[in-house]
Amino acid sequence: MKSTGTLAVKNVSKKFKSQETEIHVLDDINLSVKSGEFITIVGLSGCGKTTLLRLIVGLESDYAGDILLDGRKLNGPSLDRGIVFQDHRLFPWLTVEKNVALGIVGKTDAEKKEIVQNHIELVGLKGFEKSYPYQLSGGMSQRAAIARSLVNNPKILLLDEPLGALDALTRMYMHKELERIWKEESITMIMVTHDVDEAVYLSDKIVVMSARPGKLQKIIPVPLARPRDRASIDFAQMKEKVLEEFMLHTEHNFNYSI
Amino acid sequence: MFFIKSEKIETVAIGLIVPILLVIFIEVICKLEVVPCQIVIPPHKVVITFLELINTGELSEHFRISFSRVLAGFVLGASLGFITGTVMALSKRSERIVAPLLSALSQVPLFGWIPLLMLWFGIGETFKVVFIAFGAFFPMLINTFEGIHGVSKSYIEVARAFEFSSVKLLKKVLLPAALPSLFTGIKLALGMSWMLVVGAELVAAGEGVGYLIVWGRQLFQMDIVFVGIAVVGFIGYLMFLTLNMFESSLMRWHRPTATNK
Amino acid sequence: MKSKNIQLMHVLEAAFLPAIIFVAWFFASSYDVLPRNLFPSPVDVLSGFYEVLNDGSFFYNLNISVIRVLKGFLLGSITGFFIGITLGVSRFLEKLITPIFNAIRQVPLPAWAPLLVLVSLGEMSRVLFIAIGACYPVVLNTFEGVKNVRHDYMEVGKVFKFSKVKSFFKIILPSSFPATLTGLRLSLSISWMLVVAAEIFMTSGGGIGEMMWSCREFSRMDLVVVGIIAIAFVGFAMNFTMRKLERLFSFWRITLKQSR
Repeated sequence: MKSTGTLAVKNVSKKFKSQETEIHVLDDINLSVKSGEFITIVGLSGCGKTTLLRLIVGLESDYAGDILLDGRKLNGPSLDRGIVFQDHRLFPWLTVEKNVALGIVGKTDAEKKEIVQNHIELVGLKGFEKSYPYQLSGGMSQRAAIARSLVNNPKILLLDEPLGALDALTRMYMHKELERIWKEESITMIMVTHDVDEAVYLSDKIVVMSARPGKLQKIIPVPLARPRDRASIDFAQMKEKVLEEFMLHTEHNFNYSI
Repeated sequence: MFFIKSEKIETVAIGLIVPILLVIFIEVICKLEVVPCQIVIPPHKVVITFLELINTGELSEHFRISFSRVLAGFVLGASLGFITGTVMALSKRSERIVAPLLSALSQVPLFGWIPLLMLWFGIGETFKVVFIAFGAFFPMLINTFEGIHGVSKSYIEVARAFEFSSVKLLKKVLLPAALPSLFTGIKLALGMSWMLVVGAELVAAGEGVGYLIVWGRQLFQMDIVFVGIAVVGFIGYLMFLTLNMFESSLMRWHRPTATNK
Repeated sequence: MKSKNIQLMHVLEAAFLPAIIFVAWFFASSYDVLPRNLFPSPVDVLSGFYEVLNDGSFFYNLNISVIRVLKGFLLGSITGFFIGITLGVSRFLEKLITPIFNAIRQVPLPAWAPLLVLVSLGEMSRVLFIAIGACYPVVLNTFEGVKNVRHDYMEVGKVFKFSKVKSFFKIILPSSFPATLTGLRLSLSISWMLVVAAEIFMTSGGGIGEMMWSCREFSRMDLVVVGIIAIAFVGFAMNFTMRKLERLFSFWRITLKQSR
């Protein structure tokens, strides 16, 4: 059985010092994530959502408050938390399989080969093992990056606007893929995005953040059945609920629900 | 503000550690006669010799001669390089005609020209100036060509839309846009010129800072050799600094990219 | 695609200048317009070449020069590589060593020759002379390459808990390799230029530079020209090879630029 992670973020605040001024990036964030949940963090640019992600994965430190993974405090990056960056950051001088194998520790060569092969197939890149990143499209590169982040069976996978660099149509394919991978791996996923459609399609909970300083504005549960139907009224209403937080919803003269 | 200043001071201080230790070390091993002081000259002796040479006026005389050679050769070579580069950049036809020959000539390592040029021009001033001009020509040519050639098509199209004449295009668009490359070319050409003047003075008779170094060697006086080396290096550095200052004042608009420094 | 006519025109234009010079050279020396000993005819050059091929001195000297340049190049570039890596990896060492390195770098290369002759190390003097010049481009380019390793990739290493050593071998070295190759190419080019200089400034070691120097003393202009063509040719071959090598190992970098 795969072990998945619970995350507790308690009263986390972070300030960045630059020259004279101090920028208050995160202000008193409180969040708890259950094992196996898919949550997205939605907000405008500059609201600190990427910073929050980097704090959880351990690339930034020096913050006030606590972040607990399965009840234990964090201590820098570790293999039980994986991250997928917006720019895939595959090493251009390595093939896909070498890239995916990058993080594997403490396994024999035969085991490594098997793990790599499994994950390449998981993300749907079978046949591209020996290709170099420059030969892949954006979507394919991002899939390889996802495979790379999963090889160590992390408890939590963090995704920082992973689909931002892709065109809208590819993005929709990737939504399906992400959901499939999430189901197969039974892993907790925390994704940052500014695409409301994406958030509603994928998450169990949507965390809305407001900017400057970054604060938790609202947590919106998404109780819709999967796979979700973009054309359904429930989906549209969910979207409106989120957009309302940004004052981007459409005013209706009356509301109805079926 | 204070916080940044102390970092700079720290950098300078660390940078001085090695030179100071080196000076102390050499002085000590000389005093203790661990090494023959004829070969390893204590730094203080170099300074004394340096001051002596300044006093007798010899140093400034040598410097003046070398510098005038460099100037003559550089001006000759760089201006020819600039003109050729500009013509080649503006006319594709002239590029096709001249490029093969120039490419072939540029394959010859510079010092390889010495025997040929010496046979043609003797060992006097002419030889040295021509040799230096050779060295200044190619860097200036290449950088001028690339500079003008590489001016973004977008700017040229704007000029065309405003019906600029060819001369106006050259003056107002191409040359200013190519200025960073031109400066790189000048720096390289000047550096080359300085290196070649020393080389020329090593093999051909006559005064000059390069000759000073050889003279020191012939007299087995290492201190003179070191003074020569230090002076030559320092002057090169000064030229580079001056050019950089000139460049930044002339090109305040230029944003350094990853490809130039 | 250019039409056949235009292609032909381009070939003619390219051959125009060399052809004119060649013909003029031929006629001028045939009809003694210019002194034969200062302007040898192409025939003279060819017969001179034949002469030094025959008595073996051509390849003998070329050999010496090539071996010498390889010695100096290897010494200088390997040293330069290690210095460059060190400076790139440790900020402290960078601050410590850069000032004195830059100061030494200001000295024009020929100036080192008399000093090296004075300490009379024979062949080692010449090799060191070349090595000094060979070392600079490698130091500078390797240093740049290491410093410019993308922060993004280093973060990937951090996330996968790479040790500093692992980061160095798995990220920094491969990422900076193309820059190092460029440095090596420049270094070889300078080394070849310096070998000729070394043989002229520090004689009595044989080599093609020295051959040309003594031919000058005997006014054998034809052989001087033979020498010039030879060193141009070898220099070109070296440069060509290095460029190919550079392209081979940087395939991922070149296309990376294209895909952006």
